[in-house]
Amino acid sequence: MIRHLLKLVWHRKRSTGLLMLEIAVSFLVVFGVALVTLRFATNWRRPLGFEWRDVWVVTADTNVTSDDEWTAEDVTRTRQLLAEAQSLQHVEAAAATLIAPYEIGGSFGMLEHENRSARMSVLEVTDDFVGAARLHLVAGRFFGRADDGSNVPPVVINRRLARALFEDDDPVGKVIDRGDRSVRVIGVVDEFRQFGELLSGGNVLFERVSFASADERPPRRLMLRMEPGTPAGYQPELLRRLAPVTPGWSLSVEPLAAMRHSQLRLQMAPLVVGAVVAAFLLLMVALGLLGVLWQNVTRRTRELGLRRAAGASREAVHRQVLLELVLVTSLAIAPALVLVLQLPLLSLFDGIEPPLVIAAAVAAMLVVYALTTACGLYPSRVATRLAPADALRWE
Amino acid sequence: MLRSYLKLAWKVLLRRKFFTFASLFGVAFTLLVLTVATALLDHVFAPHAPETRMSRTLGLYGLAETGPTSTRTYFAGWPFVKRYMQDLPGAEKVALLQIQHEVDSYPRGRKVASYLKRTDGAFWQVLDFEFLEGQPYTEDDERQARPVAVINETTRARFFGEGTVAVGRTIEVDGQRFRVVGVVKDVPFLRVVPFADVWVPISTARSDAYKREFVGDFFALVLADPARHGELRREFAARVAAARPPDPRTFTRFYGGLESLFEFASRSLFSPRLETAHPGRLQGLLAGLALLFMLLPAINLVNLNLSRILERTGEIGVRKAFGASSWTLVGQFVVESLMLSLVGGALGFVLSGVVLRLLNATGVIPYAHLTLNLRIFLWGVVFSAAFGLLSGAYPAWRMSRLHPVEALRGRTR
Repeated sequence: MIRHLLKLVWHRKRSTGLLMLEIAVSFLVVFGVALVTLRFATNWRRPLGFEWRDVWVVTADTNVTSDDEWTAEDVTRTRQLLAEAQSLQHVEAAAATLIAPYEIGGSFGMLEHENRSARMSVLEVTDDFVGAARLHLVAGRFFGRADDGSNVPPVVINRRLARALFEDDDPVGKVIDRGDRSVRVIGVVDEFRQFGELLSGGNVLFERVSFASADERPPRRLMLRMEPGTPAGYQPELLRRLAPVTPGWSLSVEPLAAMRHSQLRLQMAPLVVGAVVAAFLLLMVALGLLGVLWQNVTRRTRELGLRRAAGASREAVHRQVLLELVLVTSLAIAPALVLVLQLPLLSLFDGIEPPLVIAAAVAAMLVVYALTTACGLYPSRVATRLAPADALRWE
Repeated sequence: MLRSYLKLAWKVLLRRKFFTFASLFGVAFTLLVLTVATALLDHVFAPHAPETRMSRTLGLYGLAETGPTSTRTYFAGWPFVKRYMQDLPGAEKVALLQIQHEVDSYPRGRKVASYLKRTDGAFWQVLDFEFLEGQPYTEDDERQARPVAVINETTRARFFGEGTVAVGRTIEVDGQRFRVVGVVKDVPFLRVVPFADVWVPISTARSDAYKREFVGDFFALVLADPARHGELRREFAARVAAARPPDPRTFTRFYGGLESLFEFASRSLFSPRLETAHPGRLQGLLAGLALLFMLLPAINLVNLNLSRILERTGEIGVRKAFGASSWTLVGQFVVESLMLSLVGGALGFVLSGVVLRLLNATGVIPYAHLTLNLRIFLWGVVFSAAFGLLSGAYPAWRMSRLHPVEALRGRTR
């Protein structure tokens, strides 16, 4: 049966060729949207590594120096600002950090250990960051007073970075190269996906800010963990309390929830636009397929009439038209499938693992088969509408 | 001849309503997406108020300093502009403006986040703002550091209520108090050069540290006769090449040049160290994306056109038998698909008007004022025609090669 149908398809290769091209490109479009959606969905379910609820972020703009230039006075003032914030009512914990979660920018660096090297995001934070962000420590400890005056600067890394550098060894206590100096790993956190739930997150390294010397870059952001239920109306009051500590600086406050909302919206935007466009493209393809199949079947009225005259039942002709369509779809999808299954091998994009690609390919196949079959239903009915005798003399 | 083609095409389109609908849907939708994308680009790069003098304006939109170990890509600083942008050949005016900062204020007890931009007095002469009340601050206001501000109409409504007069009243922004001297119409968020909610003189900054930073956060605009732009760019390039950063141990030279906004966009996209501009590459990238997007609709339309024409093998046979050449037939079918795409294009154009209005109304892009104008309309016509040719040529070519005898018998291969 299949071989026979293959022969039929082959005889009309020129008109089916273009149809197959259209189906293959549609498959690629659906695959693209499915891949991004599935990637976001799997990332969403993984732990974030911190708790964004009830956190307010205060940003200090010195109006003078940049993140790479600062004065000794900036360091002192930042320390005073943090101390003032910690003493405020409604504030449960406060920490200073160079970069807050859900910010677009980042700071990156390299680490080396026994011919293994890794690139990671660097976060310069104060001791209380563990409480303000509610990090989950899985080994060792976070920064604290015990690190004052230690001659090897302490760092905390996330599990992924620990794996990249030490594989199964215990990372706590290891001394590693950080460019021009050595640092000691004192703790490992489970995860810290600073760019939010949708992105997979990478290696993370925390460095300690103690305000002990003027060479240490003063962080420009405060993360304040507020008592749950602190009203938003407290924000101007908070700024009024903090402003006198740092005359000349511009302070602003934003709930981390708001930053999260706008960041997620920004990350979702291309997917939403892409999905809407893809949906309309599919609708367009569906209309086109319906027209083409309809016309194909109309042209073959005599051939199909002959089959009926020779004793084939209505259902058999139905089945033949639909099976031919499924065959054409499969022939079109096969090369596209081979193409997309190369994606994990190419490692062009980070975090595109084989299971994800397979899942997206299966989803795209389902959508495309459903689409072509749905488009074939009506034309296949048209094919058998005429009585065999009429069909045979049909022009 | 053409008239009879058009008449014939019209009849054919009316006869098979489903095919016509499917084709028109595809063309209209494709054109809708392309038109909305073009309108967005137009919104960002084309001359619109207040940037009406765009063809006469060149800007210094970025400045990098590089050294043996590090590169810092940022914007021009105040002293850099003051030292290297004076007395440029043909320059009529040089305006200086800071990248906007987001600042919080609490008028009437509610939090309002606004964008604050510090500019000099010439800014108001280089750009062409539409004032609803009052007037801009002057170069003298800037010199004297008078605490005066120009605000947009949204800020007026937020601070003082709808339909009020703001000139002469005081606003507190970012902990500083300013007297409002003018109110302008809202400027779209995506117009990076003029955009802000509140504009105040540079000299009102709380510290004068900006006077010492060669790489800072300023854009500089130069207004000059387009005929002298070449000379202007060369002279400025020579000055930048000769300029030395103040700290010669870390940084040895500057990169940056006078250019249009589009050139700057492509430069920052393809050359992170701001060494060379590649406007051609950005145009190529945009054209490539448009073509890639058109691929599926084009294949779809080719299939539909093929099916539609296949039905008419009998007609083709008759015409061939009576001596019509292949080229005549190709012409006829191409006219048919062109007509279809132009009708679809017109439909898509109307639909994009609706979509753009919706985009403006939802406020996804702050202060967006996306409109359809003649330029976008012409692009739409070009896209539709290209699309019609693309999808009509192949089916026409195939059908024109039919053998008349075969075609008369209604057989195709």
